[in-house]
Amino acid sequence: MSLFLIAALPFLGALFPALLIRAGRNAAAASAGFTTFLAFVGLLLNAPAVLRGEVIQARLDWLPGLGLNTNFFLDGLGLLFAGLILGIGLLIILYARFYLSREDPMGQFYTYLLLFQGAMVGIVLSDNILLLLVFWELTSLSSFLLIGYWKHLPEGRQGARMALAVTGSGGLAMIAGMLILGHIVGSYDLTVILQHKEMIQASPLYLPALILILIGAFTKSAQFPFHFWLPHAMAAPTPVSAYLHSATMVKAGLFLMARMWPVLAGTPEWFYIVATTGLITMVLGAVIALFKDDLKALLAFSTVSHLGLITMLLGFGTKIAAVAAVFHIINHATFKAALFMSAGIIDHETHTRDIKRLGGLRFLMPITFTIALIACLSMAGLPPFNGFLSKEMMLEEAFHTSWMGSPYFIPGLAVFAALFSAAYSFRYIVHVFLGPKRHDYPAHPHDPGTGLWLAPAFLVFLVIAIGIGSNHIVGPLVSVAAGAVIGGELPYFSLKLWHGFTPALWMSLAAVTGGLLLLWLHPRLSKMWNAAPRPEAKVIFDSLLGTLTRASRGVTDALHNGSITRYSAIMVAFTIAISLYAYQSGVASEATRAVQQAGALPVIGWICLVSATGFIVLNHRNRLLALVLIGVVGLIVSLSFNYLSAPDLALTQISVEVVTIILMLLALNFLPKETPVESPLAIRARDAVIAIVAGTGVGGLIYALMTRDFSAPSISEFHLANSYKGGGGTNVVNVILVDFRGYDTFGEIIVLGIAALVIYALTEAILGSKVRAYLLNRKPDSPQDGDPHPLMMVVATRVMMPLALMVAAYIFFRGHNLPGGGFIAGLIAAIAMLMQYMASGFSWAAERQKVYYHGIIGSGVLIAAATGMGAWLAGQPFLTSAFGYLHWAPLEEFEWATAALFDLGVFLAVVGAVMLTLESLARLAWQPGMNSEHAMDINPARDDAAKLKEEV
Amino acid sequence: MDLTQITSSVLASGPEIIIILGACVALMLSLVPRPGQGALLAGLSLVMIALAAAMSLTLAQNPQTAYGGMFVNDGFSTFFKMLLYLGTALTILISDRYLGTEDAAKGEYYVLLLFALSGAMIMVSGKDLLIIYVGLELQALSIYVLVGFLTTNTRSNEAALKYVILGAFSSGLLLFGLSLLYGLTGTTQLEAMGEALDSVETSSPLLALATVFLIVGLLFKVGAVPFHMWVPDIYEGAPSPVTGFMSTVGKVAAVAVILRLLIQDLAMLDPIWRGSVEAVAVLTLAAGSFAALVQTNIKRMLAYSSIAHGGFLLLGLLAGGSEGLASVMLYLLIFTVTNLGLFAVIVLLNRGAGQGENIQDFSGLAKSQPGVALMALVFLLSLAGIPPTGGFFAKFYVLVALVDAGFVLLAVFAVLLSAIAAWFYLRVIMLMYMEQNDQPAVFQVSPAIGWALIVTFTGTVLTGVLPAWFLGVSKAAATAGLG
Repeated sequence: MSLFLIAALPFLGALFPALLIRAGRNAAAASAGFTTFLAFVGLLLNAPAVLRGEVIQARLDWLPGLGLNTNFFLDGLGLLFAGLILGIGLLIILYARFYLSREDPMGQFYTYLLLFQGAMVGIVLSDNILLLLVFWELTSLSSFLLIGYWKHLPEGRQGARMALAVTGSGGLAMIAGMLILGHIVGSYDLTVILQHKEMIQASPLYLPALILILIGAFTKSAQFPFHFWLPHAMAAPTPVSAYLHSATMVKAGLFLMARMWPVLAGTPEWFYIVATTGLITMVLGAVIALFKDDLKALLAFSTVSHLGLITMLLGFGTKIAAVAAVFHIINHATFKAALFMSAGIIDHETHTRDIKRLGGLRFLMPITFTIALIACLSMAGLPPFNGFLSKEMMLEEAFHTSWMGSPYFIPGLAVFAALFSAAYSFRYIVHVFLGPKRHDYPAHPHDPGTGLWLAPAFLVFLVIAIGIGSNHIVGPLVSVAAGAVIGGELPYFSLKLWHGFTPALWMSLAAVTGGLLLLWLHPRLSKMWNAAPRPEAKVIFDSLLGTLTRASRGVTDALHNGSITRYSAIMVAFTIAISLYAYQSGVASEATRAVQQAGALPVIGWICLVSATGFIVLNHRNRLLALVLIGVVGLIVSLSFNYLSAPDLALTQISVEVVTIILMLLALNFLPKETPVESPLAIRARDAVIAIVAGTGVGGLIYALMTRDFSAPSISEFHLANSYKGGGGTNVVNVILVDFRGYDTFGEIIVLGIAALVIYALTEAILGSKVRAYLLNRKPDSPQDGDPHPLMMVVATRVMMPLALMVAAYIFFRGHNLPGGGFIAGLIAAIAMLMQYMASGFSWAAERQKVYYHGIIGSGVLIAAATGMGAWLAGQPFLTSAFGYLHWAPLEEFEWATAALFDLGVFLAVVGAVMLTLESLARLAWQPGMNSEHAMDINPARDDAAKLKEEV
Repeated sequence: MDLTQITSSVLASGPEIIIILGACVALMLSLVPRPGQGALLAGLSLVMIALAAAMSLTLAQNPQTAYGGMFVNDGFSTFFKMLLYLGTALTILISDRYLGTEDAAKGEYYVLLLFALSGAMIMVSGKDLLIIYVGLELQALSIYVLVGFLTTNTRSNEAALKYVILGAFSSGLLLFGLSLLYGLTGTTQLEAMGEALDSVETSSPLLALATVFLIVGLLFKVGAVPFHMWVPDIYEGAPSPVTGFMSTVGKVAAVAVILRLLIQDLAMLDPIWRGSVEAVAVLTLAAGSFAALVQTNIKRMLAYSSIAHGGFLLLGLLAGGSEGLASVMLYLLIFTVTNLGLFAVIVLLNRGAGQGENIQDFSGLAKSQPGVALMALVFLLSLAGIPPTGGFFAKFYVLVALVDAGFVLLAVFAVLLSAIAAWFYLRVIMLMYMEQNDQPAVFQVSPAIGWALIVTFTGTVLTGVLPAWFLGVSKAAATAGLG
């Protein structure tokens, strides 16, 4: 059967149980079992070829651009693991059918189980390390679902979360390792990578890749210090524990180490990291297991210990040790799955897993007793069971291995672990099954139905069969699997019970005797153990998580407290830092311009500017004063433009200043007179420092810019030379605005118009909200003046209106050649109209204003656009201007440039925008008692009638 | 420029013109409010987007510059425009329901969305710093208003105000950088600027400062640490569909500009920005991943998550070359689909007035709404980068590009941080699948959101199952971009 099909079958099968559960629990279980069986048969069909030493491959491109292909291959190691996964999977499916109760959603269970099974099969068949990673993460996810299957148990959720956190993160670390590995070799195909041992081990990236891959393997296989998740995953239903922790999930890490063994093993780094970790895990797991009273916890720590054993064997890096590792993988899978199932049966029948409440069960549950006895003796390493064989091999290897020059370290600890291993195995038998019958079991225990004991019984049959006839039954399989691990010549080994009086036998004898002694001492030791303080891995994990959470909460709160000043402070500070770094990274060229002499006038202006700025900073809480001072700054700036021979810039600046100050004065209407002090002195000092540094930086940058010529030729020369020739005007600024950079101006007037419209829309929206009620009920802080529209002012503004408009027209027309232009003219015209509003009141002025400002803005933009497009008709780019000379009879000849038409657009847009903005905002200045009847009425009460009707 | 050039220029900017026309028509229609108008405007916007997309694809057959070299239609811009269309269309699909629940159904919403889209399109197609800036501001201004669209919601108002102020700061810096560059080179056109910069020494502090300001302004838009300060508050306060829009369309456009400037036309600035961007990328990944761990508001969490994803985009930028470029493009595609899918779920959970944004509201979803929960599961897994969803390939490709470019340490760091980042997505999954809830979320999936969910779900799954095709597309576009 094709490898694709074998890998895909469990995934396909995962669909059926969820769908068939309506047809009954048997249908769901049968469908799951059937697909697994099919896959298993498919695997067996390939087995003869693999046992002959062939490697079966199946290739399909998935993401060839990145080297990610769906390539599968089946060699001895893959066959062994796939066989374990599918074979034990079948038994688990049978067992779970009878184990789960009626309330448990069984369809879901089998779906999760098959997903997990598919992912596992995927891992062991992958010929591409990236594909392997994909399946690896899938096992983390599906095991998460399985462990958390009993949703009503909080431990289940916690255990599932912990398992996922540890194994999932490890898997991600492994991605990095695999990427590096692929980078070294230049291919992500396992078959290719496995042929490049020298290249990989010589690479400087070998160690990082090794560590990252091992993190993935260690987390999955519950090696110290990541071992803590496995016991907590015991909250899962027992079939899950039996499956995940005997044959599959935790073996994935071992599989990976075995898979990578040919290229990664053999170096001192590998030996010291892997063997030491395995040794520590083996000892630690064995010791803790003895003192656990929960049957499944005992088995869980025993699993940790055995995983450590196999890891250690792989870590030795010798060929015979690798053979032993492979052999023990098989043995452990058989006896541990049987033991988990027996623990599940006990739990099922007695309703407890607490060893202290059990005992004497051999009379009540003889079948279960037999099964558990054989499996336990195998676990303890007694002949003639299979556990004995592989343990002997382990001890033999340990005996010949020295660690950091010490020949006793590893053998000593190995015996120590074996001793505890024997002890907890005996305890499982003695404290659960032997002893007197009790009368206080939570339920009446008896042997379960055949369905429940059939699967473990089959497994213990294997335990015995392998133990007695190992060379015939598993010899060929171990040979091909170990051959695949070693990737070369197999060393001589013989799987048999009697090797003579080897050191391993003596060590084994010592371990078993010591184990019996330990069991005898157990009650006393247990008391001491419980009294002794010891670090609990879960507590450490939780506190680690807690610290991490607290730290990130602290950082987050510190950074994001919602205060915009803090945000800007951080951003400005970082900008300063980066700028400083950028600045000092290069060498500034010498200043190319001399510093000019300053006369008396500039110095006076400078002093005014500095003192006004200083006063603003000191008095910014008094809003009116601050506004006046800002006006002073603007004035000085305008004057300095004038001093530097830029009169029209000065004009523009002054007009803008006036309009903006008026705008802000309007805003002051709604604000308290003073800004309250909200931040403490320290924060203000901090802000001051940041501001001073940033200001100095910008000042320094500007100074640097001004004392140097640009590397590109200055554009002012170009403009001076071309302003008249190309634009038909002698006022360079105006020509720039309407011609050279007419594009920008066009954009600007659009933005200006949009801004005005947005302000209008916003004030409309505000007047539709709660603000309206506020305005209607507002009581002014101070009494209003008697006459809001004094006659003198009315008369004066009426007189000034035509004058101001005339000035605007004058400024507009002369703009092209002399200081002036559409922008300034627009502002002046706006001021002229504004005066009417101020003098005679809003409604009076609005009544005489026949054209909506929206329209004025729009027409301005359209005229400017039309002018620009006109150039196209002449075959010129957008906004190319033309000019000529007109002669009307009574007048002198005068120049007329199309740019003036564009300027008209600017003029209209500016007038419209300014007026619309001010008018919109002025609506908010409404105060109770004002009367107005115009449609653009400022009276926010105007909508009440409609609203009231709606409410009724 | 004669008439034929004008015609060809107008044609080249056809998609933008279609979108802006659509916006104007929608604006006119929304002047007269009518019940059920939202659906009409949404439909109109979708039609306009479809037309623009069709036109973009047609134009892509024949890459050309327009408006005297200021505007370009190439494979690069077409790819990004397609992403922008997709993102905006999905946003429109999920908006109607949200506006209904929040009682904010006003026609301007779609108008502003279309304007923002056109701004983003101009950014993507701009070949001139000023054009790019105009596009950026058009987009930013529209989004400012959209953020504050819930006029009666103080969080929304506060977010809008903060965004305007901080956005102005970044725009100022960007402009400062642009004018320094202009001063140094005498041009704003990217190609001419690139040629001129070849003669400027890269050690010049002024050039360094210009680059720094330029990058700071752009990094602000991407939300890279430490210029991310605005992101959480604004993402949380903005209407959910707008948050989705900002985190996808806004980000896509900004990243497109960064790529166009830093990898394509102004590649000679590389030695100046590399160090800083490396530091920023590392900080971004770390801060985004860690801060997201402790969030309880789903939008705020996604804000930090989006910051962390921005870090990955910067890694692709650092990898450089056509591989780096293509990896970023693929990343953006997958991120857009996935993120908007999740936002569709958030909109479904929304019960008005900010209710339903706590991640606790996801608990028990698997029981009450198994279909939606499954989709949310896939989106979350994709965001976490867990295979075989699209998100895995997005991250993976960036990592491959990084490792191939020799940045092994950065790649390892990024992987470790995404392990941390995976945690907070899984927290939501835990809630959906493992927590019981007495009052599980109850809602009806409206047809529009149903479509959005179907599109995003299919996209997320397809990019995971058949990544080769998408990878090919982004590679082709990236190669076209490098010219």
